[in-house]
Amino acid sequence: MKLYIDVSNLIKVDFITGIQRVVREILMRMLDNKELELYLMVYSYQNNSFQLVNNQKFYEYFVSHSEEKEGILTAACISYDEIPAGSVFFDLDSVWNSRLKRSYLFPILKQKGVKIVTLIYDIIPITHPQFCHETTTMNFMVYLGANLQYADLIITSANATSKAINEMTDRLGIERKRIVVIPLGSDFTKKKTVFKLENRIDRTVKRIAQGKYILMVGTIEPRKNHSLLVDALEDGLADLGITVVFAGRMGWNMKEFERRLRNHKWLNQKLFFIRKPDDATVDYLYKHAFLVAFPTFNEGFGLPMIEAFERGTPVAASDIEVLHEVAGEYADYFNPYEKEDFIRCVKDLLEDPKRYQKKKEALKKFVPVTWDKVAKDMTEVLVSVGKRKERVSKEVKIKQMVVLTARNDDLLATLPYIEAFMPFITELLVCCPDKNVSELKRYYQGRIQLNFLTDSELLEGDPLPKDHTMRNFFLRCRIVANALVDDVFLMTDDDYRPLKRIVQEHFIRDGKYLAYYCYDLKEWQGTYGNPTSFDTSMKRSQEFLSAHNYPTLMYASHQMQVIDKKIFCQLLADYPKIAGKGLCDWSIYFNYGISHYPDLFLPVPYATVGWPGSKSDWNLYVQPEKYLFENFYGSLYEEGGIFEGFSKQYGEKTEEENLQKVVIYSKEIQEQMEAREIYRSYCEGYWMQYREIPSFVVICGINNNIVIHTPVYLQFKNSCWTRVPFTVDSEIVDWLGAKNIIVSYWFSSEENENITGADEVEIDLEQLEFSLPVKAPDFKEKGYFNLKVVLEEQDMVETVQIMVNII
Amino acid sequence: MKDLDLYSAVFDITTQNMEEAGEEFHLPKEAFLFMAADSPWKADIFQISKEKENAVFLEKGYLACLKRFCDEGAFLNWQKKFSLPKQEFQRQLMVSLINSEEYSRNYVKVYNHIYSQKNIFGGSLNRVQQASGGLNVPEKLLRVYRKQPKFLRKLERRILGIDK
Repeated sequence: MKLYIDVSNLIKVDFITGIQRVVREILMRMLDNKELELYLMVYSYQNNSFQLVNNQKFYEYFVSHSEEKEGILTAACISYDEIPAGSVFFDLDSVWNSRLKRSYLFPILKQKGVKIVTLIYDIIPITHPQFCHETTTMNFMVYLGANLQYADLIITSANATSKAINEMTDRLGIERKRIVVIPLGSDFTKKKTVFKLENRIDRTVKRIAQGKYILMVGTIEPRKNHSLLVDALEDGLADLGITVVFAGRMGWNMKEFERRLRNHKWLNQKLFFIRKPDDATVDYLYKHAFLVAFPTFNEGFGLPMIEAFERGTPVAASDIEVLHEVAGEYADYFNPYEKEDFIRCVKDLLEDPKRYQKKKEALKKFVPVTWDKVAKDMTEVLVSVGKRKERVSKEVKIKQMVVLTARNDDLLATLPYIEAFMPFITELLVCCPDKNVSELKRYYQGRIQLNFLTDSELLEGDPLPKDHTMRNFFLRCRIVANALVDDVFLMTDDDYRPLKRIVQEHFIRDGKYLAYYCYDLKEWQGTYGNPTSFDTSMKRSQEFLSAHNYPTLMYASHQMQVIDKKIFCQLLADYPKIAGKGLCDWSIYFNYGISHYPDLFLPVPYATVGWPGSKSDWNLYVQPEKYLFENFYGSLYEEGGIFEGFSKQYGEKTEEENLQKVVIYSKEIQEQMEAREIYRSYCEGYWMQYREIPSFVVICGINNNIVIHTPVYLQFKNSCWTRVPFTVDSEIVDWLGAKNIIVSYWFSSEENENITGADEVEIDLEQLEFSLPVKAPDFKEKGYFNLKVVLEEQDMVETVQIMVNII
Repeated sequence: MKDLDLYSAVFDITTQNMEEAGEEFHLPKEAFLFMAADSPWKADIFQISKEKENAVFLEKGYLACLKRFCDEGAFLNWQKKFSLPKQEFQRQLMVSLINSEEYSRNYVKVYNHIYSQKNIFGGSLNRVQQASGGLNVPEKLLRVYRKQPKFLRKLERRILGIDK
């Protein structure tokens, strides 16, 4: 199983306490486990990706300190959207402070079918924010919110934390998460660690250890309540011959306490502060302490208590739920808000040596949880999450195709391609208006059996929506639920044609349904700035999917796709009113399916020639790796079209022509990608030069006029289409009342002579962000890009001229 | 529950816990929600320019450009300018942040930088080189027409039979 872990914080900090120690102990052991394919990573904001860690060097650095920290990182990077489906992303470091917020990362991982598991130590920044730095709390709120939405499993170290998380989800009114409790270990770092020998412990530490002292281990921060011990020392403990030792580092918001310590009359006499002690020193201090104190106001686990028990040292702990859960009857308890109660607790042990000895004897029976067990338990849980539980049965044989059509000619033209290239298809279920049936029966005489589901049968008296996409979605919802439809079938449109021999493995591979995607709905801007019915359907689908926390890849790839009827019907049962919402059937089905059955689906790039039909339509989000289907556009075969001269009908030359069409279309796509690459490197260069990414913004000026912000210069690839980001201020709509704007552009030479005509696009201001498709001139030269923005209703026009390099 | 609704609810619960402990947050909820929706590498200046409160814009600007909250020292400095008009405050902050050394080390990519003075056309702001060569004759006539007073435009429309 592939396991990805972000260790940015562990690598970044120069101390190993608390969470860093837990991360280290668990990872050391996981690295030994051959069952796991472990990828340790550090977020690199320079590349906006994860830099991979050399596991061997990581191990050596943290176990035997034989490596330099700088040598741990490799040059290899992995983008977070490259983490493969089916793998597990495991967060156990203190990642909430990371620049890569989980609110940003997790939706991307979910989109890709990656499982998310998080070890949540506590939710104190939420339940007791007064004990945390405000920015830590802010960061933690984002971290917890993301986990409550996206984590597949949460691990905690105590039931009290699980309970707090459940209370949180209940208050939020969302579904409870699956939580597993795995208590933390307490044995110090593993086998290879070289502990200092006792004679190498600092003399000061040894001298302190000769007396009777109360020890507190951990970062000094408000929540830990260190001042209680100083108060108790001043108010009676010192008289009893007790000293106090703090071992840790100074944390946040402790300036006043630090000052108190520094100026204390008993500092280094009865009160000691050992900064950033190493493991051996802490071990030594634990072993020789009279008592370990844990006066914390709130805690996630209380590791110092367990570490003390393991070394036979009694513990006095705060009387709070989580500490009772972790320490049980081994510890004595006191009210952390009352120093007198703490003094009472110490006195009880001090003045009753028999009781103290009994306590120490009892601790011999204490069986600590080892880090080996923790790592083993966590690995088991992670493997269970990452395990593929479901597969598409090998028995499944696709034989049925379901098509929704109102155009007999198109379907009749497509059928010979299916006959020739898809021999495993034996039945076509045609869903069409009643009037189409007789003609289809009359004209089609091929080998495929045609069955029909007519509009009247499907609608059963209900009205048919008028809008194209509303109608399609409505009908498809009804079709899938129909008894005539097989359990697993291919869904298609009447103009999706196979280009070559297609086999079942193009739809089901290694027990998974292939889900061909072409875009991310969140990125989809549609054709030009004028949303079509298709575009608005995509927008509605994105809103629906986001609102229900589903991934948002776009599967309207204009090609045949495999559908599992049971999953589609489950979708319809979960959302009974969905049929009337005019959504994208492909995107809704696949994102729903991937979310509920991640093991059954594999998202792959689409494989369609003719999508987009025209280079100017939209920028590619993903480049097809192969071409299996054609989205048939008759216009491409007409004069000036890229397939001019090829036959629109199936014939003897089809196979050969299809090969040529793939070559031509690939070239077109390649050119588009090159143009995009040129524009991307121009943006990078522009950013280096001006510290901003070039873009166009049309805003409403102070005097209710148009103001256009543009780049200083532009760069395009000659004779190619490039889409330029464009944003329109909402005040153009709100203040000026514009419903649309007309954007036109043309190129002129350095002498200001026009070298192209003007291209004009009318933009519907329903959409304030869009990409303007710009066709560069056919020749390479320097000149000007002229842009005109017109608000016709408002009688307003603004024209600008920008230097341009055509390369 | 939509993403931001959930974060908003988490913020409310935590704020309530804070208040029950007798303390309060200083950072605004709007900045927190902005952070929850923010990208680790991108800053859209036009998007945050919609913020009306200078104090909130300060935090959003820091989060967008430097990917962190404003530190105490900087806050005290910018607090003195909270009374400036919104646009001027925003402009000063953005210029300062984007020219800072920290920004240049941070690899954040600024989009839609409307406070950049490099190339702005139209309105009361700097007018750089205006294009005219691209306009054809009817367009030029249209421009002349548009510059005329409203009553004259109405009259011309009637003469041409556009308005009845």
